[in-house]
Amino acid sequence: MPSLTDKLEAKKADIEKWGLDDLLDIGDEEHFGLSGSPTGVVNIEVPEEKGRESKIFEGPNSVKKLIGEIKSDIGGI
Amino acid sequence: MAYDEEEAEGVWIYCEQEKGELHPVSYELLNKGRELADDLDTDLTALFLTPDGDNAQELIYRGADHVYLLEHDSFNHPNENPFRENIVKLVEEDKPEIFLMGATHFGRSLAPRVAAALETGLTADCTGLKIDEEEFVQIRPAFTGNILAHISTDRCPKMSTVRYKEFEEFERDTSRNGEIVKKEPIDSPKGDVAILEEIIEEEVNIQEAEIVVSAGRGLKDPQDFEMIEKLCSEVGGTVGSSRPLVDEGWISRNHQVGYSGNRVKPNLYIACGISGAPQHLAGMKDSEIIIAINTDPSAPIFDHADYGIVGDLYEVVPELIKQLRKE
Repeated sequence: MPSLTDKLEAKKADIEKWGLDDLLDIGDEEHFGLSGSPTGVVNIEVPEEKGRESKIFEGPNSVKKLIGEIKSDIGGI
Repeated sequence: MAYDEEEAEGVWIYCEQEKGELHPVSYELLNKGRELADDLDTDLTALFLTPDGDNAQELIYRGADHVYLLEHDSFNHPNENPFRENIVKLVEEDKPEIFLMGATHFGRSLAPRVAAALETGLTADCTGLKIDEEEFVQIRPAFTGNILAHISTDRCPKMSTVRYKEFEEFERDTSRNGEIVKKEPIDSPKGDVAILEEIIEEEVNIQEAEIVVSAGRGLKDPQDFEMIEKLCSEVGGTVGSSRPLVDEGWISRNHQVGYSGNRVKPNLYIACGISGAPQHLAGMKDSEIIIAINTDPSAPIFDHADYGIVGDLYEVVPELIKQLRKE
């Protein structure tokens, strides 16, 4: 994990930036980025998530309550 | 070099073998590969690079029409270079349309090398593969599993890797017929990589565990994993961890559950002191039953849990162990 000093240091760091012009010895514009990628996203879908009941217990005896609830739902852990 | 779809034909899968044992992901790839080959009305070929080809017939029983068998001692070690060189040569000769590999440790290292050498695309960790109107569609989670992206590749071979346990295995059928084609391996230049020693890692099969008990940042000291282990042995489970504890070096990466670790789908997942960052959820939210223990009632893990206890894991876990022993 970065410390606060690391983070402050990072803010001041001099970062060298490369653009397309610096890479033209490897390939032309078509070689990079989206146009250079052999793969493309043709569609997206939002996965269906299993609906959960979220039975939450709090305070004294919560472990007992939890075990009792699980028992009555599915017969135990 | 990559080639056009018009000249491409066939579905290939790469079969991984380690120390004489086929990795079971191969049977899953054969099953999915069989389905794709049938949909495209073409053949399924299994590539088998191994020091000994005893298992070649097994690949036919598991769905392959052809097995390309390359026997060479260099395939005894997980050095990618001889594998890459031989696979690239075979692909360029035969020009398959689709080429699948398992997303095992070795597969994840080999597949991109093959794809780069062929200058084609690779879709890693696919959760679904299908033929849609003659088009090969690769489906994989993106943005930490919040969406599923459908991906197509504009040149051949179209390469994908698939994680272990994503698909069903092909059911063994000893009445199946197929041909085993022996191919001459290229003798790789020696000395590029030398294996000095093999160190056996502690074996953790967290992906196969039926019950996983995981700890997160709620754990204050590496010693306290003992408590997690106690609960684990009480329920007969395997110990898991969220990423911060692995990064701290408190437990090995084999135990890490999450987007960049292992994706698990046990019957029961107990999350102790895990807040439920999207990266962690992506690795366990498909578990059958989820129990969460966390001090913060607004922790996102509770939204994804079937049961939860708001409380300090240092109180709840020992109490849970005590109550379970009573049962």
